[in-house]
Amino acid sequence: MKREYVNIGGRLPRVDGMVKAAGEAMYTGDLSLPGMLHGKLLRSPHPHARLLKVDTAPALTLEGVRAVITGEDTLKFLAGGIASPGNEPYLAFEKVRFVGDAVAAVAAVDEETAERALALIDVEYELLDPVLDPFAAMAPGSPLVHDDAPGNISFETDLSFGNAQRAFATCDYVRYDEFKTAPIRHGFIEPHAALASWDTSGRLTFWGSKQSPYFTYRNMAKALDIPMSKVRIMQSYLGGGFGGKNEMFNLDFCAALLSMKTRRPVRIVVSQEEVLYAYRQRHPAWIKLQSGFMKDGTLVAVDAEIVAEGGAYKGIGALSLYLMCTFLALPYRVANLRAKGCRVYTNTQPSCAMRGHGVPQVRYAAEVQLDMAARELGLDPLEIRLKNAIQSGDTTGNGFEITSCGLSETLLEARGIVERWRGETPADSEPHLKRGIGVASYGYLSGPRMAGHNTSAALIKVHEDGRVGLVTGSTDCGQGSDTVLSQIAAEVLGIHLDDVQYGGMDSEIVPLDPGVFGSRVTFITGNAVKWAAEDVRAQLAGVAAGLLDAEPDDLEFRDRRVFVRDEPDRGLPFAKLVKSAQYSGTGMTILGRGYWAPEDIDLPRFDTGMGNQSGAYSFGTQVAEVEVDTETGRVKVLRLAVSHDCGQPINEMLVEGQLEGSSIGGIGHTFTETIQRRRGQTMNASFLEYRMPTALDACPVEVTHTDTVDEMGPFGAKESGEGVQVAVMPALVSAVHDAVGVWFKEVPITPEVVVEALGRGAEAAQNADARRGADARRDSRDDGRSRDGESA
Amino acid sequence: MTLPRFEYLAPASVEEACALADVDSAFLAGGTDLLVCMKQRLHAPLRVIGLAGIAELRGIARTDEDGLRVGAATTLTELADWASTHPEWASLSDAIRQTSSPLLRNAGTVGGNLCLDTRCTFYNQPPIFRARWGPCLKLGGGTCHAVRRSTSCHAVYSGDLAGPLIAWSATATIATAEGRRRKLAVNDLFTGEGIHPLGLGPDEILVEIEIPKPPPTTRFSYQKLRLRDTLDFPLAGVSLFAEVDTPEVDAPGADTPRPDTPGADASVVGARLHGARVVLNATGPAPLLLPEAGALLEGREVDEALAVELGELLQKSVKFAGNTAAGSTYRKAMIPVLARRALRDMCR
Amino acid sequence: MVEITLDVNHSSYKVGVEDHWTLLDVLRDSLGFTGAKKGCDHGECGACTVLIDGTAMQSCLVLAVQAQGKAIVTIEGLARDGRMDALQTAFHEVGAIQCGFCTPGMIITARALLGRNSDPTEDEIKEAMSGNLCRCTGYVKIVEAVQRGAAAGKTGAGTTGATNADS
Repeated sequence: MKREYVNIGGRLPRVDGMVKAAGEAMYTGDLSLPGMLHGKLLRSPHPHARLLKVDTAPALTLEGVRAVITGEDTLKFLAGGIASPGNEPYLAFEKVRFVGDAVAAVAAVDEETAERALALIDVEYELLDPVLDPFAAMAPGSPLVHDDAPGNISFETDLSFGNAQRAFATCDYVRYDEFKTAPIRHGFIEPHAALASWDTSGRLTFWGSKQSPYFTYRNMAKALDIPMSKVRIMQSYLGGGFGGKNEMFNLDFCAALLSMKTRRPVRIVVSQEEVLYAYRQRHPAWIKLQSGFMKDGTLVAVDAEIVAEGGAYKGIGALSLYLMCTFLALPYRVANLRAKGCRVYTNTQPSCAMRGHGVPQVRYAAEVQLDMAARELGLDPLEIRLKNAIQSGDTTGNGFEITSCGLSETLLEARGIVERWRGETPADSEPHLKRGIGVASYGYLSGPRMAGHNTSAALIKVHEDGRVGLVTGSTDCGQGSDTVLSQIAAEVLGIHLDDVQYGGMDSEIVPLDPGVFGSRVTFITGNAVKWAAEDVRAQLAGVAAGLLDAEPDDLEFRDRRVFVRDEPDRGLPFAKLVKSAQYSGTGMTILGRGYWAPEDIDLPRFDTGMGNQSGAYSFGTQVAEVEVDTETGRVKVLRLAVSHDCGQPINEMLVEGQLEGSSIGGIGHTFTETIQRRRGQTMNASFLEYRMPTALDACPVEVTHTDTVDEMGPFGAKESGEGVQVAVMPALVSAVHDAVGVWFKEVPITPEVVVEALGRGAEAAQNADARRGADARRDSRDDGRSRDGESA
Repeated sequence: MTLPRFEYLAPASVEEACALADVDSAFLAGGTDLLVCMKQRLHAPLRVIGLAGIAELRGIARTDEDGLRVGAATTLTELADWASTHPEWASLSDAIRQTSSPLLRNAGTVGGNLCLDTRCTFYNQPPIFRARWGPCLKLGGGTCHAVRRSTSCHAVYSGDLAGPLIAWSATATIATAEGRRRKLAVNDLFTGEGIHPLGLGPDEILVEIEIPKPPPTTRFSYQKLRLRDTLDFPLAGVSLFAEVDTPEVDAPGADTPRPDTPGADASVVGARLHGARVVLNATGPAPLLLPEAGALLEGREVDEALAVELGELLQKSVKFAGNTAAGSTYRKAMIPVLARRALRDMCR
Repeated sequence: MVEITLDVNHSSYKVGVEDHWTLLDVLRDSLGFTGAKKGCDHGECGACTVLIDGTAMQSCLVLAVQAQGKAIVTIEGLARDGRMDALQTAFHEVGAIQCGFCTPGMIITARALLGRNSDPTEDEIKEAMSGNLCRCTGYVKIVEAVQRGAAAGKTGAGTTGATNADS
């Protein structure tokens, strides 16, 4: 049932908008402290080498250099790791494992001196054979990235329910395809930055560009061997994250250790070049996928083998792999699933979470294959999706409990959009320009359960002028969470959004929070804020009840007033009530506190993929129209549409912004973006050569909200922003197929790939697909899977 | 990285600038390429000689013959804006606006773009790359990373302006250290060497270019291959400048497209070309003027067959190395496409 | 180190600089105008864009010594008499800001565009903004904000938007 809200659901501008527009918002790299030193990191130019000697003496003699540290100066803490201990040193010792791995750090009076000092550090390497390809890495006899990881296996997930192999034999149609996705950049414009200040009391104050400050809080304490309570993490404005700023990085550690050594504040801002060659990427994935259907399109069984390139370190890769496997169970009903995933170490940049966290890779494969199957079965792509769409009340074979679900509604909405667009689309204007329309659907989670602490919390302080201060441990990376959380507080308290001052992160006073990942903030922190606001309301209602001679439960908080329900005149202004509470008698301090996490959520079983991962799941369908220049192979995206079930949108404008940004980002992932490497070296570590979409690549994005009300979500809200990126690649690939008749099983589809494929002939490609499908059916009977199929 | 240390000099005249220059100095025009290369430590000149304060290098003026004289330090935006408001020069404006991004065109200059250093995937890299790979031929090393065992540098001349200006028969005026001036065709600025693409001494400055007034029936097309419509350097470019006889429009059926070419816009029929100048750019270490292509087109009526012939001729003239953002096979395959599109522009 | 005078945001500053310092670094580190952001330092992202004599320029590719005698305006200098520029208000109101790191450069570039062309088409806006990268918004609302800023300029509502204190 829908309710009328004042602060929920509208198009309220974000609370930090004007400060950002004014240029006043301070990001970490904008901050400086008196006496501050500047730090720089020395990085390995080799992908795999033993460190024989790191001689810092020459650097220390340079005027202006205050300290130099190497791995030997550290406690050799190993970071990262979910489901098993981490293996990433903040400064390398013994070995370096990718081009960009940090071997030393310098603090100096200015950046220039620090840069010059790096050149004076004498490092002797014993070069080792690098492993640069995950399949070569798994081969017997391959060099090991980590001695304790035989076969370079970082992590394995084996999810199975039903009996896929047996079920294939009952299917009318089985097809097997191989897909590949590229390593992708997060693409935030603000480079990583850290500012650390150590004081004599043993306290470290740290400002960072961190999505999840409490990751850094814990790791910093462990890496420096100081009590956690002595680590004070402050959060500046954050210039985008998309998953790439979750973890604590070497620059964060080095700034802190250098500050300890020099007793000076130390700031390290890495260059965008370094971000692009020495930090994180989205896991590239190789996906072998077999799906079986009945004639009517019913999806019966799925069997997948996924190899994900993890790069040099573990990071949070176990979760990435787990998500890749489990999201073959969503958003369609399937009774038989086997998903075997393997994350493999190579001597390249470490892979981590990125917008959609593993799910875009596998769903690209699964959605495209679904379209291929629909075509072979003579079904409409929307019909086959409607046929299999998961429904409210379903539980997937691995245990995802689907509460609210508007997937079918989004598909029906998409059908209308496709019909309208087909009607509007003119005939191809020139013979070499071909237009096409494609669709794809997605499901996503609203906060993944992690192995550790999972509760978000909020504190609300009421000021005597009737305004409130709100803090939580969730950071706003740009997605708008400060605004959404403030709206929730305002709604509960019956005040205006302007009355809520969202305070920044400061681990000294802000409650513990898992972090900002997996689309958890609105859903989980939002509930904590709601609870904290209700706590405030209850305290104030107690006071008001006395003043108004009414029962607390009969009071309504609305429009900055508190009054007896249905008797608006019997009340008083919110601010006056606050003052009364604070000034009367012994006086009250009104502090609201709330904490929340979904109950009945299972601890993730990373190895088997079983269990309910989230308290709610969002859904949606993406529609894309493209124009392919068949001569140059360039694809122009003409327009996109998203029909989206995010429950009750807290802020329609911000939800739109999420969907637009996620969608346009997906255009880059589909057509232009890939990290190019030679001999383990990232060759395109610049925004010139790593081609993200520009304003000229953007297109209109039609957004329709298919509102459900999620019983668990705050005011009925669920995830928005990550999920939609899951469906962009397959919708675009399907649109390209609609235009030119070729399926692309590897992204990005660069112009040269398109031209080559068109040159080979669409018909030949189709025949090959059909052959492979037939082969796969044969293979499925004898469980043969050794063949290496080719992909377009 | 920060810029390497240098002394900045701001001469007020061309002569002064030439006198200050030597092998350890660099001229700074718009800075859009030089400063990036310096931050990557591809260059570390001891002295940087800023040209922005030299009045003679600025401005756009008519020559006595109604041609155009453009100071080398005129920004790309200034020239594009001027040309777009003068119909006979407007097609030049379209070409300039395909260069880089609007922000970089505000800084980048005509002279700077013309004198752009060659680029290569294996050259335009930060120092960490060279720490392992070692210096390439262009940096004084012994190996070419792009083409194994090659003894010559395969870096690609990636300026956008040179092709169009050569096609327009532009000339360049060079000031020399001895205080002399020499004029030469823009085409003759280039050495064809990847390492030192420009035939200018370290103390010589490109002062201005002169572009003759095009004959009234001239048409011009610059076809640039790139992956995004902004920022990107060309992966290949075709410039075609020609006088065009269009068929009588009142002849019966003349404006009807031929049945074998669906879509009037796409057709490459109906025009006859004279004095065509065809230039390739971003296909090798220098722009390439192809007189044989002009000869092929001379007096011929444009049709599909001619487009094919031109495409084949151009394709034969280039040899790509795998050192840009797109593969050689693709770039080569695109040459006839660009050629056909340039011809199509002649017929519009 | 030489002492130069820079005209930034309608005020004159004497500042000691080295010849090889960029205008961006001097604006940020010496003068405290951190609204100009260092995104790539190579002229590829547009986050450091400032107005130099009315033209949008990436200050990471300008030497500080070259900027003497020119009128420099950073994002901090767009508001006049406590009133935000119409574009600043428009970016805020239509949701064209997410993480906000590209925002100063975007607004400055848009201001320069409207200075040349008070009524740009959508294509002209996209073209003019195509040297400024944004990963968050997908540009859709940025284009809308520039249109709204242009409309406000036409109706004379150029600087009647919300003041900063209102936000």
